[in-house]
Amino acid sequence: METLLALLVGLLVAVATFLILSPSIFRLLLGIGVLGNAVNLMIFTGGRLTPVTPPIIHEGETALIAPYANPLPQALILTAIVIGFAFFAYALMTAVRASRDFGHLDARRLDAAERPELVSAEPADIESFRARKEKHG
Amino acid sequence: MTPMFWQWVLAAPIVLPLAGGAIGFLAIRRVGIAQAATLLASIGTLLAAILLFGEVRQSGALVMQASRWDAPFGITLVADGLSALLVMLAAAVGLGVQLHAMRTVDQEERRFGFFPLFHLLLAGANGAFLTGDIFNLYVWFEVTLIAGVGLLALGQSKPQVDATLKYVAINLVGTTIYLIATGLLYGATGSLNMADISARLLTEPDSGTLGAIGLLFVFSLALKSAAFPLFFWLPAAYHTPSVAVSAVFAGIVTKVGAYALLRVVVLVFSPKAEMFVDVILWIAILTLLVGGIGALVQRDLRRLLSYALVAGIGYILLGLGIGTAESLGGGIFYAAHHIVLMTTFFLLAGHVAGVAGSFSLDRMGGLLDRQTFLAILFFVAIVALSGLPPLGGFWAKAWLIKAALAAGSWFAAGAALVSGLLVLIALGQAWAMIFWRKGPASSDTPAALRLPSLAPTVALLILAVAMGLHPEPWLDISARAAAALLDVEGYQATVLGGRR
Repeated sequence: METLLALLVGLLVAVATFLILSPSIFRLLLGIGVLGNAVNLMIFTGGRLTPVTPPIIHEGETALIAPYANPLPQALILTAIVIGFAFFAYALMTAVRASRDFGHLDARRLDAAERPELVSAEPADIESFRARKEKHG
Repeated sequence: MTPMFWQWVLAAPIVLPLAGGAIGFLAIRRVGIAQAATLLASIGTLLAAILLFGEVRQSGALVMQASRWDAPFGITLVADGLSALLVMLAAAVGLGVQLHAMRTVDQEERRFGFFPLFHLLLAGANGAFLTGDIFNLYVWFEVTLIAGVGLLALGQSKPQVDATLKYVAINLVGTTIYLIATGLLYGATGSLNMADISARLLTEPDSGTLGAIGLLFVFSLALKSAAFPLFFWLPAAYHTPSVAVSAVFAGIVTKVGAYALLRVVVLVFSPKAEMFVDVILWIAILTLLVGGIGALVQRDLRRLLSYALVAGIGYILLGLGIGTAESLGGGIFYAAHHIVLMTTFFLLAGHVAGVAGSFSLDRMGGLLDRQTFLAILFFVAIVALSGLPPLGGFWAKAWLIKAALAAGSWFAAGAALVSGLLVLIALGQAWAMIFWRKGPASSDTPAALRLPSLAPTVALLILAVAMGLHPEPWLDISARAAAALLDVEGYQATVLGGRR
């Protein structure tokens, strides 16, 4: 079973790598999403699969009785899922914004940060800096 | 003082910025409250960090087991010499940037939560410096990253959207690879506590599995700290947001990656560190050279500084790559100095652009007469960064080069010298273009900057200069931090033995 899951993780990582290398930002984000799921599955497998009792201490006992399922990978995965979800949402929003601003999501043509006429010329906080200076003398 | 008190002091550099940030978010439409709360948090963090640093220096590493779950089962916070030093400097720089931001950041960015995000970022960085748990480190990375991308996108200009998209994508891939490495290491050793893992690895035979896991760590952390060849995202992003954001990224965020690399290689993989040290040495050498060469050709002041920053990361990694106690000490001193100085440099760039109206070197000139004070400050910062005596960069580089020669690595010593020279040429040229040459004939000549707006920058520069003019305590602090970092058994005993 662990071998099977390991192969599945490998397959998912391969798919994710393929998607991440694509010039389309949207595919890149899908790739990151797939990669996140592959990692979660990998942590799950790394914690060893044991088809046994859940890790609950029963009444009258003071400690877990082996064999029990490993609860730690589940805590780790839960954390990783929450973080991954938040980031995925943020990255998607940024991509939406980029597609509105630039009219495309082709990484080969995304170069707004490399254009001197857009970057070096009067960033917003310089103007406010000046405005404040004028106000305060 | 009771042990309980020190537990709180240890947690304060994480808790206070988080609390300040939380209050700031709750009062997000009331910028005044957010500003006051985060300012208080900044001051409190600095006080707590100084207390923490003093205590660690006096009586050794402090440990806190979260919720009394003893190591290795719970999450452990550890402040040893290195962590306490970085937390203290990050707090000092954080307060400086906070004060600068309160004067310069524009209203819209304030309303969209500049100050809360900024403090979330500080909490994330401090958490990364203080945690003793390898998965928890991943969480702090992500906290730093989410706050960082929020700050990066705040102005919503087109370059910022572009930069944010690239920054998010590459850093997400980087942290995911870090998570892969963490998961595999957990599968191999059955532990997440750094001290516990290093103890368990002692009895493991060298194997391809461990080598692969270690290289995954090196890869992801080198990416995070912007080392060759994974640094391209840094100069593509750091020149787009407001100056305060660039400054705190340059000072603190890149050091989080470098610190994690030190911690993971020297502590977690201590029995197996020899597998990676050579790789890191070459990464460091190439980072040094690429940073210096890249700086030479930039026409945008902040991009130029970004490349100089990359070169600086090279020096820090060089300390790790040479792999002796002396070189680690030199690297740590360089990192400490670099935190303060790079932040100052980016703030100075903001002042320069404020009076010149642009970050483009081509459009600047003739500021020497009107902005003599600014020109002097910039010049002092150049001297300090490029390693001319008597300022800080010189001592750190001298120490590193001495360690490189002692270890017989002539190439590393040469690269350190060449990179310093390249950065000096690039910055000297920038200084000449900004201040010395005749300026464009413009009708609006801004008045000289007044002291209040320069005060935080000047204070940070004074700190950086002081580290250079009176280097002995800092050399001692760095040497001790390196010794503490290398004393893996002592660390294990402190964490797992449950002192206090």
